[in-house]
Amino acid sequence: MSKNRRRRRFTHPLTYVPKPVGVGFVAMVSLALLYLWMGHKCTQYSEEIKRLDDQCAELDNERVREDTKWNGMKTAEQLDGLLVRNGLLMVYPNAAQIVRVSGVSRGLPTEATALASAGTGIVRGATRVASVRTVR
Amino acid sequence: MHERLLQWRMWFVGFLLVLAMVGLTGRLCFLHLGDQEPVSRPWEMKLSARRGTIYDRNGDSNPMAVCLSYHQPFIDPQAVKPKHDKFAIATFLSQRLSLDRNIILDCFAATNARHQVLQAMVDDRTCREIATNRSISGVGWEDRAVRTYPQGRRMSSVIGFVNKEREPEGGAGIELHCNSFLKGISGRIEGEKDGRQIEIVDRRTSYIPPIDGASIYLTLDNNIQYKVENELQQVAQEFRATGAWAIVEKVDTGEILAMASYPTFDPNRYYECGSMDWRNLAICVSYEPGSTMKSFTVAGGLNERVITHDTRMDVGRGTWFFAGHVLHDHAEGIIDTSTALSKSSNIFVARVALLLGENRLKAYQQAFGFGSRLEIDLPGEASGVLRMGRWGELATSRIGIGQGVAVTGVQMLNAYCCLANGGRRMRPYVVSRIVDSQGTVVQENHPQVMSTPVRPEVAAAVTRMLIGVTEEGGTATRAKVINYEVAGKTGTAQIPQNGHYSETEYWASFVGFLPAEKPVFGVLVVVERPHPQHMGGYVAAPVFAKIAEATAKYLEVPTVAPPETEPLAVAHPPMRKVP
Repeated sequence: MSKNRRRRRFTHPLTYVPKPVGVGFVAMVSLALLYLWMGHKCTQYSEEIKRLDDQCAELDNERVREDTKWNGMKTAEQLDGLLVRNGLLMVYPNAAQIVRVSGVSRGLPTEATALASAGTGIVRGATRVASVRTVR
Repeated sequence: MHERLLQWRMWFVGFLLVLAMVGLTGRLCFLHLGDQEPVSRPWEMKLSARRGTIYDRNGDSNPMAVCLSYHQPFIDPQAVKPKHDKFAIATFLSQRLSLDRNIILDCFAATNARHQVLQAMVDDRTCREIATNRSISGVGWEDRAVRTYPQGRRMSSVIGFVNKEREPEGGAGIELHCNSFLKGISGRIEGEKDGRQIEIVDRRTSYIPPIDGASIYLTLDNNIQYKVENELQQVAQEFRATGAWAIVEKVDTGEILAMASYPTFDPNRYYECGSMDWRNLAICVSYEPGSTMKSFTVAGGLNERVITHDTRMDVGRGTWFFAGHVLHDHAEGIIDTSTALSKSSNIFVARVALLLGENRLKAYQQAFGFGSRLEIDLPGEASGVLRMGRWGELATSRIGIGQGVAVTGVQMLNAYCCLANGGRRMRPYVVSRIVDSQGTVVQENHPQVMSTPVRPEVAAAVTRMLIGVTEEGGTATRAKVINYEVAGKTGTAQIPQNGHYSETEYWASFVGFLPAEKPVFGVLVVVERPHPQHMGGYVAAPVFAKIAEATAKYLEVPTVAPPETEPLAVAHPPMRKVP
């Protein structure tokens, strides 16, 4: 008898919390944790978006800077200077020196005809053969 | 008894916990849903739009003006943490920013000023490297957009420049004329910052992204412009001229292919020269055209049938007394209309002007575009001077030969291109199209006929006469271009000073087009105050020839004469007959 009484005395205290109160408590804690987790994720995502935005802008700026640097290197003055330093003299070809390769035989439009048909005006590049002389 | 006490304690602790949770939840709801004062600081930032790029006619491969984003550092001596060494910071910064260390140390020493800007433009990577260095404090950053012109002085008189203010605005040229398109629309961020002045990103209330400025595509060609500017500089230096300008225009469309002025300026450092150097002389200087005006008097005479190309007049021995004044001439004896133009006869053309009469001559000059702005898409265009009141016979005879009238370079070239284009005058323009940051074309210029002052056969007849100017016996044999027939006219006009024409100061000019039988482009060259030579045929005509030859080859204008050399190769060799 006394043994039974002693065992009843040391029953775990949580068993005294009513079930609805316990469930409510757990639910509230869960909601609070969920709220905190969601808030944290939102902050994380927004910071990630901002970081990527900044990176995108940074890369774009870098691209523009590099483009500008490249354009500064290939100005007509620079190219003329390089030609002179290397003893080259370039002149525009005469009409007879220009070789036009027609795309008809291969059934493909040449770059020149494609440009001309696109209405870009002056046709450059593909049709031009520059006369190059070496000056010593 | 002990069990009851334990149970009571459990209930009490549980009650307290629930109370705390309810309190916290209530507070949470109040903070998030309630209408209370915000704890963090509201924050607003303007997002600057990137200024649009300017390209030449070759498109994206040739940007003439671009906007680069940089960070400019500034020093706040009071913000330097006590644990940091100013000398070490200055050494580090001087290495990264390529600045003199003493300059940075001076900034740290001046403790009164909290915002001392360093003259350095830093890219994002270097900025981040310095900003994240934990041994550096007292350095702040400002975002700066720097307008850069990669080609330097090229096209500077057309493109203009942007001022160095925080809100960049166009100061001249296309930068000014198309400023509203180029500058874009600023954006804005509204949100909150925490106590460390860092944005709380998820509390942004508004984000309006900036709309970058539109890109401008010019009709000018960088390669032709290079040639024109080089030739202009050479002639101005050779003849010690105070100024010079040249234009290349496409005859059938009115597109300006090149437009150059001398002296010029570097738009990257526009503030280093005076405002007079910023001018686009080709559109803002009105000059007396001299003999180049004679073509229009003759064209008017032919169009009104007061003369024909066979009309002959006796100009005597080169001196004509009329209305109490003497008019001298290079030509002598009986000459026809063609000879009058090729020899640039003053007396012949002055008589044609009188035959035409004041009103008709004035009407023709207006129809050719003189005396009013052409509304070219550039700022600062002058209208020239064409007197509106009664002229009288003396003035009529003189205006007919290009005295007492002032024109701009673009007016004169446009009028010649009108003759080359069968009498149809096209509106000149330098902006081909404007494309916004999304790639949509917001404005596009197309060829537009402004007037038709003369009949096509008259334009063709005058063109044939103008070919004689560059042939043997003409006034501009130096304007000849190998393998092309050139039509053009020289002009040598005295500069008026203090109410009289100067005997030593002149405008030397040449204007023409080629190939004469089927013109593609026209070129005008004007040299102001050349010394010691001053004749248009001697000073300006050779420059015309060099520019025209290079442009014709560049544009692959078909030649009229037999080719100079044998072909290097043929694309399709003739088929061999099979026996």
